[in-house]
Amino acid sequence: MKIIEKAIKEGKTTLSEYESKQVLAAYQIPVTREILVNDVKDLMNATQEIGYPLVLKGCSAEITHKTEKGLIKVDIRNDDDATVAFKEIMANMNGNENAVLVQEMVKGQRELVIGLTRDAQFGPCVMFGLGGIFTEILKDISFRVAPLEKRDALEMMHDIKGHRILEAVRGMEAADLDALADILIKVGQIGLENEKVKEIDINPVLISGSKPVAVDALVVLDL
Amino acid sequence: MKNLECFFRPRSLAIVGASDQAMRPGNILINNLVRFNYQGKIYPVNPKSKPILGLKTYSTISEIPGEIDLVFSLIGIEGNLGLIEECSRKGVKGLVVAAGGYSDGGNEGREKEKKLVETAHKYGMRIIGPNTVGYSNPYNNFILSMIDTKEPLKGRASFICQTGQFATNIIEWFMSFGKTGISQCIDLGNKADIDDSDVLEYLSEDPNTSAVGIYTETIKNARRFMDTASHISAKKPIVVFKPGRTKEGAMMARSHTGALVSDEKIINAAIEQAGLVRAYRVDEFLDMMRLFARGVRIKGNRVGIVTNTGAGAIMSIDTMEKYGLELAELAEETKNALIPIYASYQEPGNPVDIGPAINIKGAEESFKIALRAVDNDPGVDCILLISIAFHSNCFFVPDFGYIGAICKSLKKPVIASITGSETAYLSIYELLEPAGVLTYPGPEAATTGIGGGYQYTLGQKRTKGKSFFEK
Repeated sequence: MKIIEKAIKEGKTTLSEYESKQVLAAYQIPVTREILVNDVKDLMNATQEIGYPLVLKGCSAEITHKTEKGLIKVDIRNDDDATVAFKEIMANMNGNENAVLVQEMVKGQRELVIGLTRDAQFGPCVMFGLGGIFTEILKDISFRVAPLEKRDALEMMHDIKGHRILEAVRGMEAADLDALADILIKVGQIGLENEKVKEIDINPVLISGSKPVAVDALVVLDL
Repeated sequence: MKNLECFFRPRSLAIVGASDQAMRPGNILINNLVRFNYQGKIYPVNPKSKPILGLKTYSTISEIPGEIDLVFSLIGIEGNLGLIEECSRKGVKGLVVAAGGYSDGGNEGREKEKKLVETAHKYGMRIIGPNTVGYSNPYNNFILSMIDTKEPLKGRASFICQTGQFATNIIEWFMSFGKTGISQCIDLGNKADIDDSDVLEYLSEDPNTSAVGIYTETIKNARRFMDTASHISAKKPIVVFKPGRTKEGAMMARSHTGALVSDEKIINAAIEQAGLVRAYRVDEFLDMMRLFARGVRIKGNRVGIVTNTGAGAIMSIDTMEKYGLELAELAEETKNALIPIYASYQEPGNPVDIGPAINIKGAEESFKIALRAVDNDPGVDCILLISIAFHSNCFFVPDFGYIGAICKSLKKPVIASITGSETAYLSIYELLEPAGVLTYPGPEAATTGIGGGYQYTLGQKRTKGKSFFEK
């Protein structure tokens, strides 16, 4: 893929969130609608196109922990707030390629993680689990070796202890398992077809209504 | 380089580091070969030694007059590179390396191991080991092991091991469960060159092997392994016993054979995706292997239990859950057929506890009626027969010669659990096994065997006989 080749040429070991999602989107994985902007004029065009409420995120390949660095502003509802947030984020960034990602705000209470890891023995393996802060705290995750069949994808979702979160609970719709399975299969495919992709971390994948959407993503490369 | 005949059917064999002193590995190895009547030529090599067990001893490989197919090296790390050079001049095709301290000995050893394999490959030579004790094949009287080996029984199960002493140990252990024999037992040591996949391919062609048990601390060339193993397991079930699930256990595995350790969850997924059966404990491993060695297949998870001990049934039921087994729901007709052997206060059901009936109908009649009724039930996939055994005759325990004949006439596989002393167990084992009833020394062991059989069926439904990358 071009994005990957370009990053490698430039000696980058990670893709930015925006680039990472382009990789995912190229494999038909549903990602948030988003536009990358550098100035207030572009920002205004983008906010119009995406529509409020929205999320602004500092975006650069050099940044990985956005929340801790005050680079994420959520639930922005008008042009004034967007302009203030944009300026704050730009001021907080100290990298070379500063830009701000204007992103639709996906509503959903259930956060999942989907990832790819390259095991020294088994090669590309797909990971699934509870997302957000629970990934780190509970480590409720499962793996399958790529390539995955649909059956593998469905089984690995059922393998985690918290699998009932995917059911219709607390007035929420049941998660679309077919759509999730499709993402898992595609992530495995990315790993098989792109040797330079060392890791993928899509966290969170939000369940919006019943549909999964990749809200944040990181692709790590092997130079 | 696929042909491993030079390792497993060598016409001639040189032992470098042979010894004239009993109890030394270089002596035990030759003693095993002679004692079990190896048919090829044996050339002991040791510059200082007198004849060993009546065999002329040579001071170097080059001195040996005839051709040599295989060389077993018992010398230390330092000598092996030179030995390979010497072997290459004699046209040797295979080398077994016993020395430890390669990848099992830290970074420096890892480098030495790499060099060892590179040098061998340069001359078209292949290596088993290093860090191996050897291997055994009772069918062609070829016991190539530096451990004093008890005469192996011929059977249908082959084992591939990654660790020395255990490979030999497992043969004795396996045999002691009853009289289950082996077809081949191969210790691959550090698997620097020849690995599980190579040997699986070889064993898939071995007419004496019906199932393969793999003791492994690390899976090398893992994707090829998944592909090869999933393909072969369509015909020959493969049980993978990989210990080291805990962090500490995994660290021990690493220092033991220099193994690269993958995440436990990944290994589990891989084994499942390849349609293989996983064992976590050594008793579980052997219990499952016994079932496969006998060619028994468990087609579904619905177990019908016929027992003269309620306690045994409970132990079995507790073990069933782990393997996805279930107590079969008996049909009305089956229950009706059981009424004659049930006391008035009992409700016929599964497990079929014939304890009370024995007082009235006698053990043989009660077992016969129960076994036939359960066998006729379309909702039952296999029968678990549970009985106690005592040092003397007991009216609760039937004549198992008679019960064996009944079992033989049944349509479904019967697996038995006999609890009691070793003598009592073995006397019943002798009667049931010839009747085709796989007999275990306890309800958990028997249920584990059935569980392994069912896991295999599940795995085959998943892979549908195709290899991992064909899907």
